[in-house]
Amino acid sequence: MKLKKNILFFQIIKIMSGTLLLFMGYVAVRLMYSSELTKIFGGILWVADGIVVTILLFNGVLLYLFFARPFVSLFDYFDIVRRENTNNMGLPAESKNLFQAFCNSIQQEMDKNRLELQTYSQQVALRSSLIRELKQEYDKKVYDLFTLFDVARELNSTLVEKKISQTMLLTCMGQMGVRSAIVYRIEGYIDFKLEACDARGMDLPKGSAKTLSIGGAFIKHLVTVGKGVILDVIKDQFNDDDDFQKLKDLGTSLIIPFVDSKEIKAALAVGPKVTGEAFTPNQVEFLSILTNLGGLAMENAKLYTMAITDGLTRLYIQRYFILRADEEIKRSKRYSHQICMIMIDVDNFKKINDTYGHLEGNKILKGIAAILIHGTRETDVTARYGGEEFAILMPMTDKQSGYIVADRILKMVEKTTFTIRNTPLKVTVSIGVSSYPLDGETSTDILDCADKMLYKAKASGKNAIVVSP
Amino acid sequence: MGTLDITKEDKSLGDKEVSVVHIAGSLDAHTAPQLDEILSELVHNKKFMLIIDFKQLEYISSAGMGLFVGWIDNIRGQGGDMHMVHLKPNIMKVFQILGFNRIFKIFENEKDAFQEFS
Repeated sequence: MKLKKNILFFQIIKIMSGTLLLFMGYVAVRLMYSSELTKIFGGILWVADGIVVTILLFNGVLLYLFFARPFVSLFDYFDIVRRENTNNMGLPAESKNLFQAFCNSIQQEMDKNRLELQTYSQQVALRSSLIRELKQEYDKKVYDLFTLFDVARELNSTLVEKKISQTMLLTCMGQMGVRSAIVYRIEGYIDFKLEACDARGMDLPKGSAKTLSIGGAFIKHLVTVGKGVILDVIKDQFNDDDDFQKLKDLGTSLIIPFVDSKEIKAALAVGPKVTGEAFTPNQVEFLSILTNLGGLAMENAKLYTMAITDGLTRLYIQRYFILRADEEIKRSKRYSHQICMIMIDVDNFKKINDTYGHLEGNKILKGIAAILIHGTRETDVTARYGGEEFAILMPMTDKQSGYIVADRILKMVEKTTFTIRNTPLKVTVSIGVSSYPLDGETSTDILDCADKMLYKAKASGKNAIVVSP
Repeated sequence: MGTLDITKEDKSLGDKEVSVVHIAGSLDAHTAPQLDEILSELVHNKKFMLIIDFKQLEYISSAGMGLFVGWIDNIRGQGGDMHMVHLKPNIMKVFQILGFNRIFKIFENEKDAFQEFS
């Protein structure tokens, strides 16, 4: 519509310009031949002059309007001229159709390219999202590896079973964000069982819930599989199994065994995640490695405990006792503390052995060991020093305090009635007491001194305590 | 192995009492029992509104994180909560990697963590 209007305006301008040129010619002729024309036309000439001037003024106003008002810009003007000329040139209809078809094909190509670009852009967005997810996954894997390295270092730095199980539990809960976890370890002498030894996020199971039978179908399955098992996945298979049911009742979602030489040695039972999410295969794998590291550390700790304790009484052996005594003396030298040494011997033990046999004698030794554990502090070191001889190392304790402990032990033994072959039996002990640094500078010195005091107690009639002067 | 220093203070918010636990150094399997003892004592004394201030904490391991997870159910079960404040970028990254930013409420400062209890 605007174009048509512009063309009309252009046509008017053309007529006006033509008219203007015509009358300019008239003016030129009129000026050049003024006297001759006046002679010929007389007064009529002035009338003609008036008409020409009027038309010139009218044309001038129209031209002013054309250039001063932006109805059509000069650019549009030339564009219109070009189009008009093209039309005027009269291009054949075929060429116009060809041109239109060409334009359409370009338009189609552009539409196709636009669609392809949209698809590519969507793919790029999708791939960048995948890359972000992959980066998160790799970050997590790097962190997992770092954690495993950290855990391995931590587990190798201790032989204390409680520390090992705590490291396993805390790491498992922290790495997976789980509500609770339990560590099981193999226990027993002939009849082995998996026993819950430590738990977090829940109380340690008690009673029958505390143990799992290694002969049960579910535990056998764990040994065969040798890796983490999600309980919900196999619930149809083991729903009737006692051990499986115990674990379910404790809120276990996943259990990972530590299997060595086709025998289960430990297990980690893991509760549900705080977020309620399921465990991923990577997470199960991580926990399997953690359980293997922890299980191995627990085995080492167990072997170490076996190496430093007496199998019968579960007290420390003489070698470990002397090692600890040397360490305590070094520490006491630094802080100027005293150490009390107590040596205990069971009176007439040979007679008990000869009368009732060694097996019955062993029962007396186990009973005495239990009394010693009960009668001493956790910081004291109690050992089976020889056959029926025991020793107690009491750090940061003087002779007077040591005597109080010795007297308590003497009286506890005196009050205890042992049962040997269904016969009640009374036993007594003799005790010698010495101390560092008053009775010597080395562990050998104070042990010798306590031993001498012990024999003095024996010589004084047994069931007595002698403290070094 | 690093060491962990712990200090705690009680602050009042109306009729409620909030305990702020400041931890400094390294929180790992080796040092976690120290903080475990403090948290255990607070819960035993029925202080269930806790703010853990990480401002001076340089390192936290998974075992350290496990300690918080182990307590959170108990504390929330008693109507309380554990708010984390002043997490350094390296600590925040661990929270994000393990998804703990979805489990715990994390605040930039103590004031906001405090207000959240009101």
